[in-house]
Amino acid sequence: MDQAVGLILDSKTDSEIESLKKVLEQNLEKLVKTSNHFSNVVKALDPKKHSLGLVYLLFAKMHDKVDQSFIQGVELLLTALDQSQVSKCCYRCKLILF
Amino acid sequence: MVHTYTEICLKNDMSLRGIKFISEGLKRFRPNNECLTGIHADFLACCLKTINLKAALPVLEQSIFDVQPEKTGTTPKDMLLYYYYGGMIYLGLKKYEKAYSFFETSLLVPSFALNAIMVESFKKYVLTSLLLNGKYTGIPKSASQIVHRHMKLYCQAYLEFATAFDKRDLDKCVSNSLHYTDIYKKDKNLGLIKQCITALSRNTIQKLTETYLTLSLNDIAKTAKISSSEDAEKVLLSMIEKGEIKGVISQKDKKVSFNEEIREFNSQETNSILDQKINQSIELCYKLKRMDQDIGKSVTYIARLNGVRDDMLEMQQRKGFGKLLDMFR
Repeated sequence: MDQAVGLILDSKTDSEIESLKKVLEQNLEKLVKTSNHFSNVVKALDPKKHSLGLVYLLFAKMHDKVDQSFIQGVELLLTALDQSQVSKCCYRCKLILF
Repeated sequence: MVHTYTEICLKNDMSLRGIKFISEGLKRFRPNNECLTGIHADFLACCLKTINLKAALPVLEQSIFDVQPEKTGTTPKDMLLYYYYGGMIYLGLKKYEKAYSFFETSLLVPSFALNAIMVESFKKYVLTSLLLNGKYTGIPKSASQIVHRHMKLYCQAYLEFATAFDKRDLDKCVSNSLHYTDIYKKDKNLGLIKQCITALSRNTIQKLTETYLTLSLNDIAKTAKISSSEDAEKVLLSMIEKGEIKGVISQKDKKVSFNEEIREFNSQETNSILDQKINQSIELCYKLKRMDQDIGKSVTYIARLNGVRDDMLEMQQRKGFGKLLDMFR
């Protein structure tokens, strides 16, 4: 989880965000297993700059346990998301779900 | 993710909180104002749960011309739910024309299999058609074959009610509503059925104004199957106040004189409505032209026009479209 957060914080350009997306998707199962640290981790993220990372973390949290931290995370994302980042991953998340 | 959040809000009495955050997210998430997203239906669900219908109006009044599933993750279910919930909100606000349009659109979504959302939309579509048009207008012709073939099986009670309504048979409508009370209660449409029965009397009175210039209150009560002439007078008064009919009630003779409304359509209000409608039509025409041009330039359309199968196109797209066009030189 800490490695994932480090990668999310370091990804700033479009190409870095694209490679972040691939890494997070490949390690989704690991993210689900370590999502109990979610509430600590989400405080370090800025939803405006790290929307894509936040989406994947919330997606992993959703598959583990839906609790107060998940609700707060979604509300945090909804208030300040970056549309260009979120649009890169929401179709992929839908495909994974279905 | 937002769907999961919405489910939690709906189950735990947090829908009001959900409206605030989801509406914020919706403004940021949609690529443009005319694009439908998966979040639209969630927002409308929260508005319905809290019966905060007017909060949904700014979103509903924005016409939808675009769906970008690759950017928004919108699925056919999201689209069906958007139109179903939207229709219910307009029904709650008594805007029957818009409600009818929304339910009709949900029936027009192409489908290969029937689904519960379409069945529920159809039930409300039938009842809204009776309230708006005074008759059942039938399944839209552009609806898929699945809808035409199977709806009669799942909505028999509603179609029987609509047939009785079309024949202006109030007794049959009332007996239908009593016979199928459990079904209407289960579908939460009993209120709408009662509204339709009330509307039937009013529709009958409206039809009378087309034939007669003067009628006694007793005759009106008999024809419209209202219990007494006093009740008929109350119904007439309410219809005159709402502008549904033009008439004058004579207390002395216990008669109603119906006036024909002569509208010359030369007021400033008429001009501004006309102007607004013309501008909307011009804007719509430009939009359709742009959409037509976009489709004409798309790879899929050009390939289909040249008789290329979808699987061949997919194969060649991986290698490069140029090679495919070479086949036709």
